[in-house]
Amino acid sequence: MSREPFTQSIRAVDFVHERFVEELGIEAPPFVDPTKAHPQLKYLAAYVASESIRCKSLLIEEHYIDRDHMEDHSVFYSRNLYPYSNYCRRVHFFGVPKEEVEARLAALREVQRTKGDEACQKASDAFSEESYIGFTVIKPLEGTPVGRTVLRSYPQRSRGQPTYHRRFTCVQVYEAHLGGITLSVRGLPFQQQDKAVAACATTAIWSALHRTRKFEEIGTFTPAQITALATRASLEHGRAMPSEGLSIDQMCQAVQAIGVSPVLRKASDPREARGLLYSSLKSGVAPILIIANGRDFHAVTAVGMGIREDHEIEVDGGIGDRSARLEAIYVHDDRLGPYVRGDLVVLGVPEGRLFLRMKPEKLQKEQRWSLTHLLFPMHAKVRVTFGELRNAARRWVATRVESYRQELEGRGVKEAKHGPIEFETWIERAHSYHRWLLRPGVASDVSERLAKEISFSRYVGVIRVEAPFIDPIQVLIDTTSTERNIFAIAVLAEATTKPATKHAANYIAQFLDCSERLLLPGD
Amino acid sequence: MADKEKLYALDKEALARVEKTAEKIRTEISSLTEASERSAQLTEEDYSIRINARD
Repeated sequence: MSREPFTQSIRAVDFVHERFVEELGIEAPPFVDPTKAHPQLKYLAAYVASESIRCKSLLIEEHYIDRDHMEDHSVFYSRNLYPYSNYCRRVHFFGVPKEEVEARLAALREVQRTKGDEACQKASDAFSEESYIGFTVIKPLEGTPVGRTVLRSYPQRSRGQPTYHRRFTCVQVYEAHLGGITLSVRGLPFQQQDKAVAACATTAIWSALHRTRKFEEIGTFTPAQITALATRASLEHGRAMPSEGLSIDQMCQAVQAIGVSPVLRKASDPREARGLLYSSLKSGVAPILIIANGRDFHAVTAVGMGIREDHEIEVDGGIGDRSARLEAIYVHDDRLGPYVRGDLVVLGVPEGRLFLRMKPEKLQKEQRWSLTHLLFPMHAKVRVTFGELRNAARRWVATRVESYRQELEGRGVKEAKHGPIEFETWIERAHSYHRWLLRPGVASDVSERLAKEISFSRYVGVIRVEAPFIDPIQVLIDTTSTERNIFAIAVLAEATTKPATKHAANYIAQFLDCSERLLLPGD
Repeated sequence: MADKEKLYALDKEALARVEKTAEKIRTEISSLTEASERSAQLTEEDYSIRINARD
């Protein structure tokens, strides 16, 4: 028996949207309608071809060892009769023509030879920022070829929509090594389900945990390992592999086994569900969404949000919730692709439910999924999570600012005539919150004193309240406390350009037992 | 205290009044709080939902 040739081959080709699947030489599997084959691959081609991304060329590595596939192969595909390879291909996407990619990579190698690591990395980063769109791993499975895929997300602004902006809060930098050059891309990994070692629930957990790793030192888990952890304790819906889907309980078991806590919430109230989504995404925690279409339940991972800045918000008791401006979210849906826009709409009576309206491609039929549950992978010590924080913000902080406003209005204070009081909440690692506070608009003595005088929990819950008659006020919450015993770390005013600010902050601090930890500019 | 300061300050009496108003607002918005609390109440049924949508 002779060995197959075992060599690497890297080729650069022009990217042609319509010819992408053909270029990769992937044929429709024999038992699948060819017109319906490879929807995720076609979506990827459409995504990188879009006006916002503008891919011009591909670089294809014919031999690539992918950790996820290697693990899937060792626990599952190596036992098939058909000898699937244990290696993959990797396709890189660039925003410049193939000749330029080759020339720039050669030039970067020359910088490394002549000027060393630092100069080369600086030049590589600049090239990545300008032209590198990301990569996709192509598995040797013709029915489910899309493996780990990290692509640049859409830009913040979209043409012709001045009041709409996207924020991909759950993306981070990933590196790809190519012939001695390190390229980088900001994204969150995506892959399609293979219905063998992973179904949608496993894949959603896999994507979300890639983000959790940004905050906590948890291990890297492959889809096969996640499925094994999920089904270790119970097999309520049949065998583990080929995967027949997971229950929410099994999803929670897997998240817990990996070393983070599964925080599960129902999405029965549309306003509360939108608020939880906003709070989680603003915190950079990628939530796993359980959605239903009347027949099936499905799991996707949210990675970004679309904010309509001029959206009028509903006001209750003089209090408005900033999350009402969350018009859409962007999800990794393993049935469709990465960064799929889902418009948030409330449908049904009497109170309705929050639905995701998705239309990944112009010619595709719109899909509607109702949001039923949200699963947040959180550090175990975060006990005050998004729901409790929002409750505290609304009940104990915003109500007080509004009642103070009414008092001033009664006294004839002109600037207190108009509301509303707007609140938002999020949870952040203490060090990153400190960095966030170092911004224009926040008095420098406040951020300095906060850093020097206040003790922080590992994660801080932030309640931020804004109103036309005051400067923004923040209440910082110790997330290691509990719902019934919430501890306020500090109350601060970002500035005191308006005379009512310090009185409002003082009043709130007094009732939250926080007067000694009240930080006011110039105090 | 300057007159302008007085306009914004909360003495003991004003503070009690403002707290009373805050409590009134809390009652007005109680449905939202209840919605939040409901979302935290999970049953066995929630945990047994099977997630298995296909391509």
